[in-house]
Amino acid sequence: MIKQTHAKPIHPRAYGTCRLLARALRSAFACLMAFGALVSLPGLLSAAEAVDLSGLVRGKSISSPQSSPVGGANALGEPTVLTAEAAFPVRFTPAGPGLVRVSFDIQPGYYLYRDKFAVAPITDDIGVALRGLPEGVERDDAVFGLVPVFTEPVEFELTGPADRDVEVELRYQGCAEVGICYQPQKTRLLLTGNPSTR
Amino acid sequence: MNRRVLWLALPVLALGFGMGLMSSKMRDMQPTAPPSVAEQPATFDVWAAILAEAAPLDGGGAQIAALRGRTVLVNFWATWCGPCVTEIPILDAVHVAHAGEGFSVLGVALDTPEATRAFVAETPFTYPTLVGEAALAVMTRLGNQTGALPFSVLLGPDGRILDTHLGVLDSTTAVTFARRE
Repeated sequence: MIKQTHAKPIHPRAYGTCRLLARALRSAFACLMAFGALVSLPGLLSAAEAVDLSGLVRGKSISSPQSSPVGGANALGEPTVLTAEAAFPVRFTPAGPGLVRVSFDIQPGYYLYRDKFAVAPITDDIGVALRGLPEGVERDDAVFGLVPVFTEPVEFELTGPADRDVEVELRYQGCAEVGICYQPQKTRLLLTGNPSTR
Repeated sequence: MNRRVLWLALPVLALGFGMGLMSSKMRDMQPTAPPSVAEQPATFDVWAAILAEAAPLDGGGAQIAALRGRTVLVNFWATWCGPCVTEIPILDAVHVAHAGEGFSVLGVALDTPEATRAFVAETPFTYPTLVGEAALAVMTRLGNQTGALPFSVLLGPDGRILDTHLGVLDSTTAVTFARRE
């Protein structure tokens, strides 16, 4: 059994008013949509243009230094690598007069050449040296043959005169397993002495 | 009914127009986007000036001038860089094989002149090479922010950058570069 309802008939004038109101709402909605689309267009375009295009060569992106913490390859077959600073973060800790402890935290997939470590005074010809540099592990390099390298965190000391300050330059050099090498790195630091020990 | 369809279609059309315009703009953007637009050298003369300033080694200026109008693979390398040394025979073979097709390789060593001369004397190759510390600045301008080697940049005859490559180029890629126009 179907239940029938009897709606109250609408007055013709009220009906006309409702139609006019509905039409006005539709018009307003359409105008709002069109306006929104046109207003947002320049914003969308400028946002697209704001994308960093540096490093793009004809639509190709050069590997980002921070794109991969471990050596790998991008879709173009190029290795994605860290900067030398990120691959070989180093920490210096004062350990006494004329003595600084050096700690390298070598990232996986990267290595430092043992023989490339060197220290030299910046100004005067004062005796400074590396002390306690570990042996490292032997690497069979296609070009240089068997060479000792560090593939894991390494620590050693820098020594200088105990009775005076000396600014020194620490040099080191490394590569990534993916087949790239970094130019020799140079870091300056101060070996702090204690004049009262003279 | 027709009027209702019209009102519904209007915003859709406006959106479609906007999206179409945007995608067209983005499509245009991709292939023409250069690296660091403000800094990219656009002509051979600009490149020649930069490279000559970076590293003339044993008549480097004359070597660069001879490359005008050719497709040039500029290869940044160093004697202390094992992968770079591994790459040299590949580059040399491509340089020789495609020299008659308007292609040349130009090395730029991030090294000392003494070490570079000694290396070239012991391990000769046929393409010219330059050397100098300023080469690092040139390489950075080309988008290599890591300072890692080897790094290659392919320049068209008009000085435009056609391609770049970080790491050792294999033979296939090197030949593809040599045939690029």
